[in-house]
Amino acid sequence: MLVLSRKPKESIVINGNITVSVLRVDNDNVRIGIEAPKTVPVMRKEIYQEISQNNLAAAGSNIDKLKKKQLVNS
Amino acid sequence: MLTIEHNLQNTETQAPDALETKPGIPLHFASGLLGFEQNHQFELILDEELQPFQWMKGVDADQSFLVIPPGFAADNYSVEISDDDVELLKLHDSKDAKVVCIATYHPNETVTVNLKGPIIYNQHTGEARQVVPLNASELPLSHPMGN
Repeated sequence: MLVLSRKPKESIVINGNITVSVLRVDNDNVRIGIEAPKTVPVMRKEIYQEISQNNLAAAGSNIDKLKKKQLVNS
Repeated sequence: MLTIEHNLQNTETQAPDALETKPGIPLHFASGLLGFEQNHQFELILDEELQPFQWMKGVDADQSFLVIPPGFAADNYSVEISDDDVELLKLHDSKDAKVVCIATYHPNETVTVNLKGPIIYNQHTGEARQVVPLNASELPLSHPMGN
């Protein structure tokens, strides 16, 4: 991992089109501003992990089994 | 910000019109799905045996997903999507938008629906995106589907 030290109001540029700025540091809380092209999804890592893991589990759904179940129920 | 509501009263899947009932609606995800960023092309297939579910079949990959219009899973489902998402999907009106949510059919034969990260697509262009709505914190990731 690349580690850079930044002070409040300083920034990091990624790939020439994404800017990550440290806006405020307050004890253990850091407020970060991100400017990125709209096509780049930006979100908290916890959210990304829960949705991507859910997608991964969903991709394994066996629809043949579900079809049989639906037919039995209907 | 655009609020998109979905409930069975205004669901289009019951009316035999337009795109929704035709098999194989092509969807293009410019950013892929979360965790599947490399997959961009899907086809939304209506299969009678799966109703009310639909099958979102990967075109440029083997990954396929079971999806469902959220009105079948929850009452009064409403998502607020950001201006960036509205602009990317070129939604001029909430009527341009269709919503489906990814369902998981678990090995124990229960089904849960992800209401937290819905798929929104422009029904006129097929441009699609899995969004994290502004009101995501109120929405469940694994909403149990009743039988």
